[in-house]
Amino acid sequence: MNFEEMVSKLERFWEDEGCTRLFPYDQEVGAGTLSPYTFLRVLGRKPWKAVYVQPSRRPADGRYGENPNRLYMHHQLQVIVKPPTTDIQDTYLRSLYLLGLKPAEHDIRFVEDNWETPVLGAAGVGWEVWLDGMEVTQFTYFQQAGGQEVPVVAVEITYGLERLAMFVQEKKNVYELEWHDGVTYGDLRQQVERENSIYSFEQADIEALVTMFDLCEKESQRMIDKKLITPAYEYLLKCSHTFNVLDARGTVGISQRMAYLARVRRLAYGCANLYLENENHE
Amino acid sequence: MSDLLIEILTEELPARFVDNARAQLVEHVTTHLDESFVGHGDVRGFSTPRRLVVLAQNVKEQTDARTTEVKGPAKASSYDAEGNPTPALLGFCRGQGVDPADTYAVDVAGKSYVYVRKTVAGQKSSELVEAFLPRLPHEITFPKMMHWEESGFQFARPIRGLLALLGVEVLHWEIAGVQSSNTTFGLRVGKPKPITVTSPEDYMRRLREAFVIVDPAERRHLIEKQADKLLKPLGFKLGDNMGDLLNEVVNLVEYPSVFLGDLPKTATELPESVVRSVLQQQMHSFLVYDQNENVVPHFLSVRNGLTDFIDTVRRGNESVANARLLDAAFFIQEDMRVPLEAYVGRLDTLIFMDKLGTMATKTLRLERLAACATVYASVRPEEETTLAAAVHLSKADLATSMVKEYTSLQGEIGGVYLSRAGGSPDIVSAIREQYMPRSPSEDIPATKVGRLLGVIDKVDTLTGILGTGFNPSGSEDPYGLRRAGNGIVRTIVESRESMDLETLVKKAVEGYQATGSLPHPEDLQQRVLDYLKGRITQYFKEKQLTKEYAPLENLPVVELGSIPERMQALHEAADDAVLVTLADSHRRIQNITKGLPAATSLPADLLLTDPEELVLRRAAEAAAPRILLFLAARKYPEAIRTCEELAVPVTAFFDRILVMATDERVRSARLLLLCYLKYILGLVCDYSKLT
Repeated sequence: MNFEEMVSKLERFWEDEGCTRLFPYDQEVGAGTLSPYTFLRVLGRKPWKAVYVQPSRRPADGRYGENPNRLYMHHQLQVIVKPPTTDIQDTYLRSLYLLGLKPAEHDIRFVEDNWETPVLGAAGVGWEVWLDGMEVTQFTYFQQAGGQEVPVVAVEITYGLERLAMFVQEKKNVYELEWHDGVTYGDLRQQVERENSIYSFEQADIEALVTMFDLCEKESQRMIDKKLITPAYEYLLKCSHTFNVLDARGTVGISQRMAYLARVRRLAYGCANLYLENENHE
Repeated sequence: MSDLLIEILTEELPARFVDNARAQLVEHVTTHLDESFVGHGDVRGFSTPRRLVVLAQNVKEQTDARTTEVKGPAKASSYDAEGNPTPALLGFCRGQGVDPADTYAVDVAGKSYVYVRKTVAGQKSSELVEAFLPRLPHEITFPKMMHWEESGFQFARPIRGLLALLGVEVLHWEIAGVQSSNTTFGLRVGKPKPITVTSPEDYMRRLREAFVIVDPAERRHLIEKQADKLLKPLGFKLGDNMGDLLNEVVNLVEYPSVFLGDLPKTATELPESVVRSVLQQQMHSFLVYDQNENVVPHFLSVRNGLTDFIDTVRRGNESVANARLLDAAFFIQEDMRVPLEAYVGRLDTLIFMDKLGTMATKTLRLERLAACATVYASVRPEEETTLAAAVHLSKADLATSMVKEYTSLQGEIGGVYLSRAGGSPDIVSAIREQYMPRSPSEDIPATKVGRLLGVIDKVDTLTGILGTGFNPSGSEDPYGLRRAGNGIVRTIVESRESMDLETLVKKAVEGYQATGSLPHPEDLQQRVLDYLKGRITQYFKEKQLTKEYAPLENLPVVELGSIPERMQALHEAADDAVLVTLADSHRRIQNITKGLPAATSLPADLLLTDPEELVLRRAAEAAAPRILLFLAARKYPEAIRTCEELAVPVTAFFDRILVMATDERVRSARLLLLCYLKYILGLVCDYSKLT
């Protein structure tokens, strides 16, 4: 089963479970959680069911396209079910069936792993799912978002698509994955990985990025003041990614680092409060 | 009579919570049965990662009829002046369904109250059990809880099923939107199929058929047996101290199947601590050793499920282990391109703790503390040199890729890198041992310099955290305060090495003042010492030595290292008849000199004239220098025997002498003599606390 087939099977599965299938958010994010489809929609009381692929950039994890497991950008399949159904774990296991992974033929385990994104004031309780020892999914019950306890819990299921594909295709090197028949992951991604690694480790213009961060922060705050959530949040995402590049570049001192994170968090809280305010008005 | 079975079915509970939750469930069920007067036999707990189960045997169908007394209003307010029942009494009687004429009075703490005696008819046990069932899940607490449905009920993980059977009777209860039923689920293998159970025995049988072994002791035994069967023929074995990991694995599986996996050759070339970390911490698998205690390129792991397709599971685990070990090998190779010293310069990019600066400033503070080690510890010159070198490099490994990836290997990796680069073995050991003891079951550092480094590092951490204004309370230990405190106490007590903690803490406070400021420096030295005092008390309590520690509790914290020997000496002296007299004397001295400071010199001879006080003065004068000498030489049995010589003269003194004489000068001389005795006895221990 090639990569794209695997992804469409999973997407189709969750569509049949009532999830709205969305396209990846068109901005750089560090994880599917940062997409407004998750971060904003888990706030408040409104039900929400969605599935989407989210390319996720972690500049510091880049390895010039040379490491078989580590990537500047990987792909997550994000599922949000709010409120969770009582058989959500079994539903997840059924989704693995589709990929030919049957519990009786493997060791599938839910191992405690609680997740936290301080930059968003978000935290959850859950597991990493082990498939014969390999973590292939993060399974989380949101408990807090935007710094507050969530009134209605959402389940977030994040499939690590490369990991899962490597398991299904029995490949030890991510670049050897079949994306499309005859087209490998390496064909599509290796050069991009190399270039982005060079950029974020060696070439990124620090001064320009620092200025960009300041500008985006200002614009996000201005939009928070105007009560325009979407542009405010989109500029927050730009801040977050700019910071990640600066961080990978290795120039952010330790106290600066805390300060940057606090600045992004302030914007996140601002957006979260606006979103909740809006919902209360409805 | 029939058995009572209760099951709470959940999504996978964190392994570390399971044992404790099971014990809580047993305790609460027992209490509820007893408080409802339901007769029962043994109450046993079972558990798997997905269920908490309790089985109470021989539960009586009905409670016996019993009489009970109910307390009413005070007698004074129960009758008016004419002796007629007041509304208060009438109301009480109505509530209890009795006639006022059937009440009687009982004195409670000097006051008279109206009582009635009532007969409570036998009740059906099933109804009493149903009454307490919904309370059970509320009563179980976990270190971390969550909510998942609209009622906001909190548990460790979502509850997905409830079951209670009293014999064949299905009991009804409900919690967090879950209704009880007579069904449960087995091991996750195929599509989940509910299993209907008809009785407690049937539950055990049906679950076993569905590949769930509910008894953790049995799973443990099975794992041990299967491991033995795989390893013995090959001449291999598991390492020592596998208990914690085994407990964890027992709580990760419902049905264990052990398998042996192969490791790449790299595994035997990597430091053992690294392989252990990858396998044991990340993969919950066991390292395997040959008879000479060498790691062999295999690992033992436990699958949750049957042996069908176990080769697939094995191959999967092997490739994960392989990828991780290769990763580790790569990190080590990259890290070692520069010497450990080079990482010291990168410590200013690592924060020590919020508000407490970076690891670079921590290193500076530790270097200051090491430089004055002779002030608070007895250190030989060569140890001083080793300590200085070790302190300088102690935190360097925190900046390596390997420790960033495997934080639990801090200290270990610094030691490995330095040793591979040909560093001095003494420095290597000290760096390796600095974080010991990391858990109650781990030993303290084996080398003197390792212990010194460990203690000053922990004192620095403790001082810093308390200096941020953090107030330690409750069961959480978010900053590792308790671990640091316990580490200091254990290192000193178990090594029996003297260390002047008062001075060390004072220096640590000064260190923070020199390298930056603390938000809450007020009374910091005292607060740190008080915290340590609390840890010392706790340490002896956990060793079940509270009684033995009581006479030593008031010794200055400087004497911590001598406490085991003093305890031993007191234990040996316990049969001395005179010790009882001495304890009594010490108590009398303390009572009469209450509020007066201990005196370090004797009163002038002139003022003491009665024979008994002269005898006591002379005895004290003769004993004191010997006691001081024995203490200096840590000869505690001799010091105690010398104190015992004072018991008879003190008794004679109290029998014949009126301390509170009318002549004020005489009175103060006598008190001063007793204050001196208080001082000299107190140097050894507080005999009055002997029981």
